[in-house]
Amino acid sequence: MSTWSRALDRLVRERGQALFGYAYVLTGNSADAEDLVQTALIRTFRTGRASQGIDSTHAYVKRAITTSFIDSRRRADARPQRAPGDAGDPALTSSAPHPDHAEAVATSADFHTAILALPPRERACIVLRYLEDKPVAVIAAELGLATGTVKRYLSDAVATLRASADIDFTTDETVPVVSHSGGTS
Amino acid sequence: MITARDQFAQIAHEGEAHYAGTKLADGHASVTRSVRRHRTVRAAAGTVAGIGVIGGATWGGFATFGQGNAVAPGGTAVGPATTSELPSPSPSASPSPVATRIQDSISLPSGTTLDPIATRLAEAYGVPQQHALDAIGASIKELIPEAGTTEGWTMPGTFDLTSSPTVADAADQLVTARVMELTDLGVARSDWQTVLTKASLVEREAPLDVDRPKVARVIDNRLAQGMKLELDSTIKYIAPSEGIYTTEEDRATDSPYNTYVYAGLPPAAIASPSDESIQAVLNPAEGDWLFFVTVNLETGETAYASTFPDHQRNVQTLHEWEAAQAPGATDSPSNG
Repeated sequence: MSTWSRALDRLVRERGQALFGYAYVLTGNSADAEDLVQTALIRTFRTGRASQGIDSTHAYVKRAITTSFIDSRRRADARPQRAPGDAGDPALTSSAPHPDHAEAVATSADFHTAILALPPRERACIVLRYLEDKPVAVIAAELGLATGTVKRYLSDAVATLRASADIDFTTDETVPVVSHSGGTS
Repeated sequence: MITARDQFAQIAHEGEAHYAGTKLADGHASVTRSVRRHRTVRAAAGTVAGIGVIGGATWGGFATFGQGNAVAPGGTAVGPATTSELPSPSPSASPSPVATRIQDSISLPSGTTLDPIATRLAEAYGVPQQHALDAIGASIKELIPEAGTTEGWTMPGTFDLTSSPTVADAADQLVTARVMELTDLGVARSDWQTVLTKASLVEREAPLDVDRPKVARVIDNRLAQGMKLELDSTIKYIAPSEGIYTTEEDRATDSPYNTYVYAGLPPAAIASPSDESIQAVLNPAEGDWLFFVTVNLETGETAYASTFPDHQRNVQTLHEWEAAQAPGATDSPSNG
């Protein structure tokens, strides 16, 4: 058994569930999350980047999940377009078809629905910022975007999500473009 | 108030709860196979492909002369065709991981369809032929997702199987060798299918190396003039039959592979071409020929013509050669 396949075995065994959970936040369903994890694992291991220990490999796969997610959505966008709200729109799962609907949604399911209605790049940025706790500059580097662009995505996404749920979007690091009116600290 | 991070963490936690139900939780063999394919391609640059290419040359020529039934008017070079398989076989099912390797190496002749190749591969690993077909299909789907069919994408030649524990690994070897060949020859990826298809025609039409660049030229000239290719090898592909002639009925078969009916190249390759045929397609001989016919079925000597009357004279030469053979001659084909 070669080094990479031992590393792959160990990673999937010890971190598979966590990686899957991360992909699930982005995709919102198990089948897409599984595909995403597989793609990310292949991308990571086929290029020999997996030889620096399980933690850095884990981080790399996570990053590959995010970029693969954006790539796959971009490819999907290149296909014939669905109008938003048409049957089968993957962003629209159940109760919250429009991101700006004003009902208060408090459960995480509804919050997730609101997240899934965000455009892929906004979604990726907000997950990296608020789940992964990454600084804006790091997000920009990982996604190959300008910091200004990331800030705009975050600010748009937060505005959208605020409209749909009473959520505290403050973090330890202050993000200048996010207004703190709803914050508690 | 709930923080965003708590919300996200809760969703991630919910997602993790679904993990046990995924295939990934049961095993990641498909990921391992896919990674191995990509790594094989990169590691193979220049070395494995070189072996495949040289092996292909040796074995291809060997097989052609050994069978002694290779040359025909209209340039048909057909061994006993054994396939009726036109569409791509399903590349979905996973090949059996428990198979054990029986042979240390495998030799694949050029100019055959995938069917006998898969048969040999299956014998080398003691698995059903369908497993070999699936494994080859999976390799092609992974490495050349744009391939029209699975035909022609395996490399002929002799392959060392000692580092390929499963039939899936061996399939990767065969397909990787082709990928490396095309890459090394500098063929643009967008041209791969076209080059492979043309080369498979050359392979089936011109068993002698000296004729390959000329036949490639004839194909190019006919395509440039919008003429139908009218190659018997494509008829043999859709309607396999013994011998070297095709019947009128076979030539009327409605199939995109029928170059008597449809202009242009067939939609995909009709056989696994040797490296010589690929090279001939990339560097065709100079000439304005539009026709060719083998005038001596023993030596394989082929005559080229740029006009139909000249071609008819060449065909007459063939008939005279045939007439000159004793009735009991072993290799003389029966004129259907």
